[in-house]
Amino acid sequence: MILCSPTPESLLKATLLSLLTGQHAELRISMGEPNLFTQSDEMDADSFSLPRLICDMSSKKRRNYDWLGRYQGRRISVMILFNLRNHSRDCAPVIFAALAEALQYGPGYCICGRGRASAIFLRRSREVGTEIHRMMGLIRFDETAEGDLVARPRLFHHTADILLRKFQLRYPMRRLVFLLPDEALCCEQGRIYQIEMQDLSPALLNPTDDFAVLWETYYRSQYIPARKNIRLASHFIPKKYWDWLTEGKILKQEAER
Amino acid sequence: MDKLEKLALLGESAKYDVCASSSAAPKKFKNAVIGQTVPSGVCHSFTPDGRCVSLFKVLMSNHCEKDCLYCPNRAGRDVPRSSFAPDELAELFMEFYRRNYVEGLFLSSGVRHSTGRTMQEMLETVEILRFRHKFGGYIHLKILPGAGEAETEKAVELANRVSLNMEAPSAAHLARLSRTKNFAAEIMGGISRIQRHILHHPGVSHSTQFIVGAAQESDHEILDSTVRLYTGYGLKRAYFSTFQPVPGTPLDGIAGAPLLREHRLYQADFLYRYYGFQMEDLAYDPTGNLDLTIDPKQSYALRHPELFPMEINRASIANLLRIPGIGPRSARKILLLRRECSFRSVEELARIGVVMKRALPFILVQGKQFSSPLAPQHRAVSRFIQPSLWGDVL
Repeated sequence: MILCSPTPESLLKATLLSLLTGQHAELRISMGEPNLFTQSDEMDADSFSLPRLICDMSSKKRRNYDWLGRYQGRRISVMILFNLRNHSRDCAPVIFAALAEALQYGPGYCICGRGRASAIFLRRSREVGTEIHRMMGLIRFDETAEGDLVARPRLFHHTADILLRKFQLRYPMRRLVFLLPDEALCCEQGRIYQIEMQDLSPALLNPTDDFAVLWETYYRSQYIPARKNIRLASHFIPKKYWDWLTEGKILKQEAER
Repeated sequence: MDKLEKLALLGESAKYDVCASSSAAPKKFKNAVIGQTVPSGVCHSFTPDGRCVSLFKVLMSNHCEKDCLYCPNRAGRDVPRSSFAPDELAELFMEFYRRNYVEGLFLSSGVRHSTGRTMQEMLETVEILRFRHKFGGYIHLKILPGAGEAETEKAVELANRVSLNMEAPSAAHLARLSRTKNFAAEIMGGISRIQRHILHHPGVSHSTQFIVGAAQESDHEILDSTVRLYTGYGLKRAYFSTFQPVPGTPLDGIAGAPLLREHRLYQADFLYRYYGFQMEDLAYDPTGNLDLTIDPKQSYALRHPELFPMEINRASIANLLRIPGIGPRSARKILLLRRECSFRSVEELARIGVVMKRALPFILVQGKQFSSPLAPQHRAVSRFIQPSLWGDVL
């Protein structure tokens, strides 16, 4: 069996090793001590060099895999990362299958989702990409007296740290805090760290910022009733976000009217 | 008037201005302390009409000396009037931006006292944002008709996008909508000035907006005018806004144009900009309008049976873009994948994003046809008749 870490490079190495040796590849759950179930013939994908594996693969299959180091390879790496962040539990088998398709039929096959596994791989990658893009717009911050920006994002995938890094580019001088269901994630000067909920200051937990009134006023002013199209609005802001957003109640009222 | 009332009034006054785009080249201002521009743009909300809220769209003032017949802010209309001071507006915008409610600023204004003075106030607001708050995010600034050389130059220097509303495709059409706007000097002259200054500022773009259905103009005239702006004036984007009658204006009581007309104009505009279509490829009815019952691309495909059905494994990118249901992104994917191995089934096409419902009658996959290009099912959409507002024909 081949074990790998949850990183794009390690997963790629494991897929290459699997195709070279015919052994089954699996994602390592944790880096614990060996136990009764640890098999002695396990291979650690991280201990292999990627260029060496690519070279071995090229000579075995008599094909050129230079694309792994170019744009298409980087694109697939981003897709692997997004698949790892997807909430689905079976991310590893899908990634291995999609990578195997890419190595067999070419990178486009995987990037465009042409094969069965690649289609799932692409869809999951898109789901995560969509959440990141959508949340860059929908997350709203409250400002504390100390100048920290605090938000309670509604996330369905594991994207909090990616979002914080993106927001940090927009607010480089501020400390950003995401209050997640069971922890708080902070970003300060490019460094991301966790804070336990019980360690949070009251100012961070309950920021006294009533800006929502101004936003609601502005939001109402932009609506043109003659163009009402709730179906379109709910396509862009799905109903699962309505109770989370300030304007969700306005959308709900208009939908019921 | 307090801040909340002003926001409601001046936000509402700006709601008919169309522009949700916030994509821009990154890092126009390198020493920014807050804000950044991104190439993809971000939407921060959607109103119940489905329009994106990405920019803080507001007027500096809704006092106006112009008498445009369709405009809610026209001189003489009995509505509350108010203005923001540059400081006040800049501060309010920063409050919105800091909390991530908006992606940038869209600043326009009615003409208060004079065009020059109003432009100065707008520029002062943007200067406060850029130099006092060190804001590096997206700013779209309207150039008012009649703005001078210096004001235009300053606006281009400070903003990511500038725009001057054309409103109507020709001087004769504009004369029907406003007695105080001069088409040649104020509109076309202004657009020329913008084009000249933009050449020295890479990353800054300009756009314009047309009112559709208020001046007895046809779709053909609007699209011709748009293409002239794209080719001759370096315009990045044209927006179309369907005329909706505003109570208390001279055009109150006139039926608004159908929203579908605006949609068809956008489709035709996209065909020109991204699909390699020429204006001659579009079909107009005898009144010069696009067919409301069928989208322009499908209409083209049905009028050119000699081109279809097209073999997906051999068609050039230009030809792929002529197939209904295939957009630029799908066409590029088809080309990329064909290099690796040819398509064998329609499912493979569906997986890469081709809209099979539209494409199926017009394609062959390895010589096999899956559906015939039947005549489109004409839905019961009432044909739009341009209201004759003046009892004559242009």
